[in-house]
Amino acid sequence: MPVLRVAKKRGEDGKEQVEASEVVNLPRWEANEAFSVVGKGLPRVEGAEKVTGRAVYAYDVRLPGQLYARVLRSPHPHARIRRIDTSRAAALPGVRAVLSSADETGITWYQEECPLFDTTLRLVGDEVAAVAADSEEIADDALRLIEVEYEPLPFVRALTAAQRPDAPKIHAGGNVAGEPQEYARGNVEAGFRQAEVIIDEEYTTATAMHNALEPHGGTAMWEGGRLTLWCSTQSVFDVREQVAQKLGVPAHRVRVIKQFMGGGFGAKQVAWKQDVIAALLARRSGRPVQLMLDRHAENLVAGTRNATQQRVRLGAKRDGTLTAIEAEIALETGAYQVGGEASNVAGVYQELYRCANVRTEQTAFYTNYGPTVAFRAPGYVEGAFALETAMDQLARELGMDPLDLRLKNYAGEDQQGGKPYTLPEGLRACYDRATGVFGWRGYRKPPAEGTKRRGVGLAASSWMGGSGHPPGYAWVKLNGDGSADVVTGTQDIGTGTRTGLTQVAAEELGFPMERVTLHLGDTGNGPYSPVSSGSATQPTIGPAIRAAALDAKRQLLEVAAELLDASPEVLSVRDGKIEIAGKPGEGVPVEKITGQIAPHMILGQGARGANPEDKTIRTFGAQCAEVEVDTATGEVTVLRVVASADCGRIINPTMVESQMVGGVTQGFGFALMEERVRDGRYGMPLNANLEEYKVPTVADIPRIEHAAVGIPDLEANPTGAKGVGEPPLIPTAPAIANAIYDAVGVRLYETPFNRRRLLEALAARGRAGDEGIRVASAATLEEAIGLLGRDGDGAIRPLAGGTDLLTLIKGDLVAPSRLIDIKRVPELASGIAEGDGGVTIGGADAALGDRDEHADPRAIHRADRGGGTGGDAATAEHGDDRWESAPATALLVFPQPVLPVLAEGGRGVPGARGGESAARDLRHEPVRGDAPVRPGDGAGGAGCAGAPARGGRGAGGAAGRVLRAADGGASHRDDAGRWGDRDGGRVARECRGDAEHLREGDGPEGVGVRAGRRGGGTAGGGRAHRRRAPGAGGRRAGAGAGRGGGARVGGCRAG
Amino acid sequence: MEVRFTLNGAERVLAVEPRRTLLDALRHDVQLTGTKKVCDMGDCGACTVLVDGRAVYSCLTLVVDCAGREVTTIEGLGEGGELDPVQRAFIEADAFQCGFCTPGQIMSLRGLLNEHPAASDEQIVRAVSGNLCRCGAYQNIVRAGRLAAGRA
Repeated sequence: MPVLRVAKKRGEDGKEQVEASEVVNLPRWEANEAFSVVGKGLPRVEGAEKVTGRAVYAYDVRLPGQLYARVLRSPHPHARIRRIDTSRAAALPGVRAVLSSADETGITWYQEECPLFDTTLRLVGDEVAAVAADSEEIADDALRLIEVEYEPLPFVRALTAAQRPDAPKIHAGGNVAGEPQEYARGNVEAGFRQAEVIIDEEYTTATAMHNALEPHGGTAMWEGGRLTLWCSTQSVFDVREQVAQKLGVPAHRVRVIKQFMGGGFGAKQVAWKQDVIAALLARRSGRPVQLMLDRHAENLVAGTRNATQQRVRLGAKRDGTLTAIEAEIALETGAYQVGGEASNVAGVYQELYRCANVRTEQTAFYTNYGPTVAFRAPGYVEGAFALETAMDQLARELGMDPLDLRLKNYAGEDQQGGKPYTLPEGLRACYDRATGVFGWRGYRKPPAEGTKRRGVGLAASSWMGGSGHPPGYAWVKLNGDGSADVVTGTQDIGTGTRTGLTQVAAEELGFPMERVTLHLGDTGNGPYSPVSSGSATQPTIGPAIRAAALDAKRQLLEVAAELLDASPEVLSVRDGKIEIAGKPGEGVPVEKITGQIAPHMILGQGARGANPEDKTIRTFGAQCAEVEVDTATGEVTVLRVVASADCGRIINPTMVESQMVGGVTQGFGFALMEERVRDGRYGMPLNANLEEYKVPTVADIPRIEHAAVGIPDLEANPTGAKGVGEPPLIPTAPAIANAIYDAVGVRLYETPFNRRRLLEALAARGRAGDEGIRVASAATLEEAIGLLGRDGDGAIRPLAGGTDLLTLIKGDLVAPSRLIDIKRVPELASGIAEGDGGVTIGGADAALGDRDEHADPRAIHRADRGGGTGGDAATAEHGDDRWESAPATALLVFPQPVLPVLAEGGRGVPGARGGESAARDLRHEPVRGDAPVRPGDGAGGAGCAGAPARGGRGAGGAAGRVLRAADGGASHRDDAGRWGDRDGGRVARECRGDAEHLREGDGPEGVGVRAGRRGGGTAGGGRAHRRRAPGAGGRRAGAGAGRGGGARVGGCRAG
Repeated sequence: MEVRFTLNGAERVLAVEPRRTLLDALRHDVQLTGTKKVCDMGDCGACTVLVDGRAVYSCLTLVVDCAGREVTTIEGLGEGGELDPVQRAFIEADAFQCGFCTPGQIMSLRGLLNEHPAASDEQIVRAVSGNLCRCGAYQNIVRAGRLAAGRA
């Protein structure tokens, strides 16, 4: 029975605070403890519900009279609403309630306390109005009847742009979100003076989107003044508190239920607007209302991982001893601060290595995009990519094995708090296990095969989570039939919580698993438990359940002692029987005891005690990766990943392995595939869906092995188990990046590592010579021509604009030497321009320059809601235009004449009018041989043209599928209307690699500086390529033709 | 309009708007919510059901196109209270975590095994390559397919 201790204390600010914690007398499960169910890889206890479709997720709630709500969202990244009229929507038959900024809800949202329906909109997707109707279709119809006049405002298009002094202000206080976080120990400058080797690099990580398969949302029902909310959430209690507070009702009048959830990955740990909107619509209509986001909205407004820029400096002695670590970090917050688990990018720099001199500075900036939120190990994933890549670079500089460098700087204690770790050798065990299973020390690189090179990489991680977040509570009820109900307020977010916690209860009770039922996910039934984030659920609630079970068992044995005429001290429970010491095999079934006292019952009560004060709990990890890189194509194939994590005692090896493998899979996506692409000109995310935002598929993933550590961390809590949800995602990207370096000798400083980035890096290192690609910016055509200059005795000739250039580089057909940004050249702004010498300069973006008159972002936005009902051809055409907005802002210049193979094509220089597809055709056979079809090779166009319309909405999806199939190259559509496959996830992935344009806005700064530094043109992207059929025209073929041809292909998607 | 089809072995008649997808008809008109809506545009496979024994995306299939056809959903698998071998294999191989993609994965494999009872790994990967699993259970999904194909 836990004892609550409460004390008053005066805080640093002089205010009185109450400190409370439970004292729980729970003996440790020692390292050599003998278990009957703990440690077994039992199957998931809820398996049958999940494989039969009986598991009811928030999305699946169906109540009598239930309405469905949809939300009208801002088409602008920054705008004011001048006028809104919802009367036509409200009058549509079947519409039961409408909400907009015209309604004074008095509710504010986000940490900036903006109105729930604000008249200032700060991102594409911001809530404008909401409708509840008898069906989703009617609600969608109603949204189209809402009239809104917007006044677009200047907006902040990227993290780089947010930091400029003249950037538009998103909130009154400017664009710095929250307080910059600074940390320092020792003297970092002195540390660098001591250093004999200094690494100084900049890293960038992309915005990754969670894409949990179940979207955010829920179903709200009022009964009298009481609200029940079935919510897809990681924290029923936090949602209850927040929703009650927003609605102005006491928390006890709100009940939040979450039985099953289709993934959260950090993004579902707070209440979101839609939860309260559903409740308001339900109150207004007097009916239950379900409001689940669609996939598009899910990716626009419901949180993403923050993009980062990190400048990292490491100083070391020749023997590898780190003398200084410094990191200056900028991260993108999006338009609002959501709260919840913070993104601590700086954390890993502060704790992973022993170093006396460390300084970190982390500043968050607003931009006009969706808010960021915790995403599985928030901050540490981004930070570890940079730090662990830099460490690998340092090891190479020093000529050390990267493993030895890490061991040399091993940190066995918390250098921030000056406390030892609870398991100081945890990280060392991870190194041993991961490298041992992988065969790191004995690895011999196989000889190169053709253009393919292999390499291996290592990375480590620390994580501030996995420790447990007290308080947390549980009850155990022992029933007359010898079964037990365990009740707690936590939630299973898909990680295996139900199973792991049931094992803990069964073990402590001495009951068989099937006699123990766990109840969770309901604020109306269970005692408080904290949010399921920070890998905290098992280490928080496991000990609480153990304590409750122990309390129940103690009472059971007292009753049994009375009924069996024995002393409780000689009794124990084993496999559902009460055994008397010295008389094995003569146990009395528990139900014989509990049955005799029924309906009286035994209730056990448990709590999670405080974490240790004198020690710091961390979860460490290490991973090794082997990759094969094709230097001709830039394709990276990850062959295998071996992952270890210090997660303490392993309660269920099957669940832990699934967490490890799943985490590495997401890390693999972060490393190689996942990136939100946005149109910097219109401030619109372009791939807010699962078609163009590539998450790993079954065909993508490498072989992933879990090298289990499993050392009980008995200082952390009495079960010895820590969390493992987040750690496996952290070291994957740097392990892959380091393996790529090992294979081909180039560093990647930007995630994801797609073909473009790799080819740029290869080009900069190798064929362009030592100086790499030089970058310049021209303001006039004359200046541009002047910048071409001369190179030795041959004239430098213009070759291609950004998009064409990329395909040429990827085909290994050109070796660029100069990149000239001509976006500001007015003569080129309209598209095609003649250069001298008869060479046509393709370059400045034709479609972009020519499209303003057509560019109604609202139309684009509507069309982009692919998969919605209906849609009309006109908007689809505009919708397609967004694919044409990829700006080819750069002109690459080459030191040699155009390669003969291209010149002989008879179509002129690639990039010249109409020559592009010919060039591509030529490129294929000789360069690629029998390699998979590449994006843009035409399968998409051909397939799309042949796709039968399946009704307005069907065609939209079908065409999307075609395009996706085209990515895969070898896919086809069978009679049943199902796409055969996405053959070669590798190919699917590389398409993602092509979707690069405008990742940091369309400013030349973002493009040129990075390009110059790393080598390679970054302007432009291949997005348009994969959307074009060969010969169907294309952007380069003239603005008008480009739109016509391109629109036809892409238009299928939304049409 | 009215559409008549066989759903999990029983004849159903539904009055629907022509634009109603099979997915929405299942989830709303007959309240079989085991079939999941994720992308609603044929990208993720969570809505996979069998039509005449073959796996299709129900979000890309209009329910009016199912007239006279036989539709099987996750709720229709297994007989006499016993799980289908694919369902059993998913539990045994721990081929899911959150479980939201699971019905679609299972139906894709059921469709494959209907045609190729001893499907190869290559066929298994191909069959579920259109089914996204964000939890990353792919290795075990392939293992489950292998088990269900009697090759483990």
